[in-house]
Amino acid sequence: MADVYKDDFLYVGKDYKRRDGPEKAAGTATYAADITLPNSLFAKVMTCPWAHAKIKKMDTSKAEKLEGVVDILRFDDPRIKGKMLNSSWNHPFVAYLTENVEHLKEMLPDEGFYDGEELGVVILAESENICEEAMDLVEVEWEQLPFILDPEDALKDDAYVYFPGRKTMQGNGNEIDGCFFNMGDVEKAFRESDAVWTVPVAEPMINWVSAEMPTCSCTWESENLTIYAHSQVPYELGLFTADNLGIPQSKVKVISPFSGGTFGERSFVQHFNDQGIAYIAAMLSKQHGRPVKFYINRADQFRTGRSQCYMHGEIKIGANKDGKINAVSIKNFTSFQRAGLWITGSAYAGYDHFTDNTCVPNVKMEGRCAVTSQPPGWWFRCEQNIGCYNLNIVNSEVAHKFGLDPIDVAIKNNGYEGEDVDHLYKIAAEHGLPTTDSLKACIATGKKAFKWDEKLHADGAKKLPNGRYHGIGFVWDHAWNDNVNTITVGLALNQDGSVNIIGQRDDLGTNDRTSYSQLAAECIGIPYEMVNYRCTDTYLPMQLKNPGGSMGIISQSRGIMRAAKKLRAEIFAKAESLKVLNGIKADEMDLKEGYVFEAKNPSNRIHISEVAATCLPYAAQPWGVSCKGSIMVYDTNVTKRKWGYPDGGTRPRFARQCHFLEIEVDPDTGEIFMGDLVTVNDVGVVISPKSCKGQGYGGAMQGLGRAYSEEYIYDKTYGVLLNPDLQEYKIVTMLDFENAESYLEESHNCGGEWGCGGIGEDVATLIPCILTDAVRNALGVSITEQPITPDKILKALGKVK
Amino acid sequence: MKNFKQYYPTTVDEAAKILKENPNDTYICAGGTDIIGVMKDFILPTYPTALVSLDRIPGLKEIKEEGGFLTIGAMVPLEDIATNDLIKSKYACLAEAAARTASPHLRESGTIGGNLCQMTRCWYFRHNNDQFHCLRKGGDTCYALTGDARFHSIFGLTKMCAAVNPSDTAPAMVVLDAKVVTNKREFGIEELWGFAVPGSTKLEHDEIITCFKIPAFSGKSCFYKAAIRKTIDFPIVNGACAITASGDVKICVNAVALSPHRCKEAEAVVKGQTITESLAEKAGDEAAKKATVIEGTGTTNEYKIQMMKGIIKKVVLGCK
Repeated sequence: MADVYKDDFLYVGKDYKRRDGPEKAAGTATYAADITLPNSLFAKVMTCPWAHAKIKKMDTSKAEKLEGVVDILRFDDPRIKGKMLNSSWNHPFVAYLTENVEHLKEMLPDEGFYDGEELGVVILAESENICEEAMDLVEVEWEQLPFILDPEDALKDDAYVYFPGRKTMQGNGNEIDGCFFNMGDVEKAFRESDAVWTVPVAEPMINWVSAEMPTCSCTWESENLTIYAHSQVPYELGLFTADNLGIPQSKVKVISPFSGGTFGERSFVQHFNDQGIAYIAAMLSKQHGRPVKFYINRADQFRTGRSQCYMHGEIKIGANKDGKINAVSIKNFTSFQRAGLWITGSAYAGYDHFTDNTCVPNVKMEGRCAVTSQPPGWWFRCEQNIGCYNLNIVNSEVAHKFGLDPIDVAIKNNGYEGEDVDHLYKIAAEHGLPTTDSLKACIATGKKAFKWDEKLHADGAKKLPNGRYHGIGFVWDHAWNDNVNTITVGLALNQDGSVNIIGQRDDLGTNDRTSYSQLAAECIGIPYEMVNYRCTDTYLPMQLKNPGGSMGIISQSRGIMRAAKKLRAEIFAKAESLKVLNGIKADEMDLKEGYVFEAKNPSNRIHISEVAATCLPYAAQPWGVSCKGSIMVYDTNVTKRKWGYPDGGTRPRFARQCHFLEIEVDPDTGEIFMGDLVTVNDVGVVISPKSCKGQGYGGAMQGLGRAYSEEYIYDKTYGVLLNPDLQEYKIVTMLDFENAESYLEESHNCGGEWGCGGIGEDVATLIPCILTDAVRNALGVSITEQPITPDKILKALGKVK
Repeated sequence: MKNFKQYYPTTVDEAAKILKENPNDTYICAGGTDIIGVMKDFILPTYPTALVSLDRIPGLKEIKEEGGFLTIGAMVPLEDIATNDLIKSKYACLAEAAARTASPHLRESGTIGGNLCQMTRCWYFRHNNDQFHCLRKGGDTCYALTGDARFHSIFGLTKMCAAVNPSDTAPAMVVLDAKVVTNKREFGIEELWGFAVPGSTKLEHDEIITCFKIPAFSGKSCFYKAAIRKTIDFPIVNGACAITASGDVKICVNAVALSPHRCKEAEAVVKGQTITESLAEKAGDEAAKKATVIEGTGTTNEYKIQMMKGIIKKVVLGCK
């Protein structure tokens, strides 16, 4: 099991130069989208131009005659007809996910259920331009069908039903799932509260917005297929593609080079932009004997790609004047579409931040999820956004309702399972874990750095000389400290004593080459410079945890430690057999800074290279963790937390995060100007300070985008997405907020080795609600429907109807 | 993109000749930051077959002050205008407007001529693959009127079109009383814009802007832009005010109608008065009296009226 306490690190916690930095900074890093194999053909797919439409008639004859067109794959072509996106794979891991994933999705159907859904035809041509020109020549007669954009509308009795006869949770056929939860007695608690009120809430539908678009290139060498893909799950991509092609998985190799952003969107393959493009490119490549590159452009990615669901609803709050929250009742609606994951919406993340992180004793949730004509939901940029949002909307509402400092409200309501923090840290103590009050530690650091007490004022009470209103905001939640999953990793000892980390994983941009090398150096006991980690392909079936964003450092640190222990044991055994340390036994040895030595007499030592060179006559010997041969099999010995999971679905999280934001609001134009932003994360143990702080900045930027500017905008008459581009879909830029500082706390109380935990995704997920809190402090008005655009500000100020 | 032909004439006459000989689907390319995007997204009903680049024509990239005018070549990059000391000191609103346009990279490529002649950003007009064959493409419908018009006109429709002019430099050029010089004529800049299929100007197909002439200005001027983002964004509303040393007042707002909107009622409020906050607010109120709202399907652009009032207030106060 993990060594919980350790503070005499030699390599962990130090800032090394980023190993992927020079290539990325110089623009020489190669991404999948950069790869065009010699003699390549190019593929492009048609997309549904309407919210819901079926192909009545399609004429491809003009496209077929265009010079440079090599092949046309129609939906009714026997090569593709009936082929499913999820393949036929029935592995337990896949089965686990398909409980929640609608998998009855044809790869190339003749009916589109939302604007942008891939369907109809794939053009294969000598160039991308010819593909586009040929697609323009395809004539389609569409039958436009009814559509619904709002999940609440989809649940009405007279609503159009998308998939008649499909098993549903309740109500009409559109309600595919949902979440209904009740803890305590909310109605009684409401009656006993000083105040009870309801606030509307809404979170926009957002895109993952990566720099690199979905792409893959496929090529064959005899019977062996190689796929270069922009994927976060290359192993699964190979698995599904092999299954769909009907070839052994051993003949498929997936190479996922540098990645231009994945954020979780690339983390499962049951979507056309993953399995669809890989299978079709592989199939056409095989048939035509040339490499095939399949590329999804920006506009189509916006329209076709998985999205974070649109959510709207309301929260009823019961609280006392001292800030004690007695009851919370959440009702919301979210969308679903095939090849999506319903948990991105209402259920998974709607209420559990109350049950897991607070002492609110009465919590009720009614989350309803219905089919609409919007792209499938997915858990990129984190599915827990709604949970964070709900918790902090309530925290902010209670503070401002009673004129309290939101920080005091947070401290008062911090806890677990409806009980206070004493209950939480009693559990920690029972498992031998630290009992530091992480929230208080984070708050102390953040308040000082932000100068919170100096900036705090009553709502709407501070108008600046420039005519703008000044406001500050605060949010808090648990840290991403317990998300753990299975990994398979090898450590290869070379003859000079250096070590390669073996394991494929997608480049998430989190400086993993550096961080994991630090981890391995610390775990094995050799200098950092002697460890290297470069992403490998799937030919060696070892894969670090994906999606690494949620579970990376915790899973990888545990796996690497397990492998390191095996490697150390092997090295000691070899050293013993060589009698190189005066004949001492293996269990009397230690390994540190690259030297194998007698634990009681460190001067009796040899360099690791002397053992490696003597005992390992071949180039390298991998030592991996025992994971039963497949990444897909859960190895509970690796993943189980030391303190286990209590029954009942709640999880004690001992580490916290909190963030602070200063803004100015122009009451004439409704514009928001960001000021200081301070993030504080308890990451348990800092592996790489540079990585952690970078994640803090990046997360803050993504989070503010959600709160401030990002949203899918649909034309409600036609159901068509109006802003499928980076001009009208507005991700924030560095000029939108400039003064960000990231601070770190180390409680040693997260789920990874030595108690390390994650950062980045949690900042991005928690940050959005901070803008609501700050705007409320600035203006004294509540805007709980995001993004908070100028029209909403002016409306809240009463300047617009 | 589809393949297309690119011409590189070295004189204005040569460029005009190419355009005249290719009346259909041939477009001028200045900095290319607009037209290339139009082509990438298959926006137009018929795909451009050729571009006529003005990049290799000498003399179109000069900024000079002579004969009582500031002359700015049509191909001067926006970044040059934003950073030019002469413009920053004497024609401040224009430098501010150029500096708030797009991003540094785009400003290095985008030109003043292109910024003033760009097509509308209406998301129905701009939708990929000519999905909405609207009035501006020869159709018979303005989809914004029944759809989402949150960024659309607050000063009525032009031939039933609710789109707005997105230029940041346009209101500055209007309040500075710029003249447009083409290969065919010279005219006041307010005459530049109008309803066209698919463009935004009244220029003839083979008419090429060579430069802009701004009368020497001594006074105060100010520009303000409100947008969602602080950079790389088109305006929700922008505006400029210029008050000459002799007291003449010009106020113009943009992104509020198909052409930049001169606020003569607001000018009348300010002219001859000592500028105060209440006067500036009154100017905004006067300008807003003729504004109208488009109520789309679940959306409204009413907030733009308040935003315009706020911007007029700011630019008037900026000339204090």
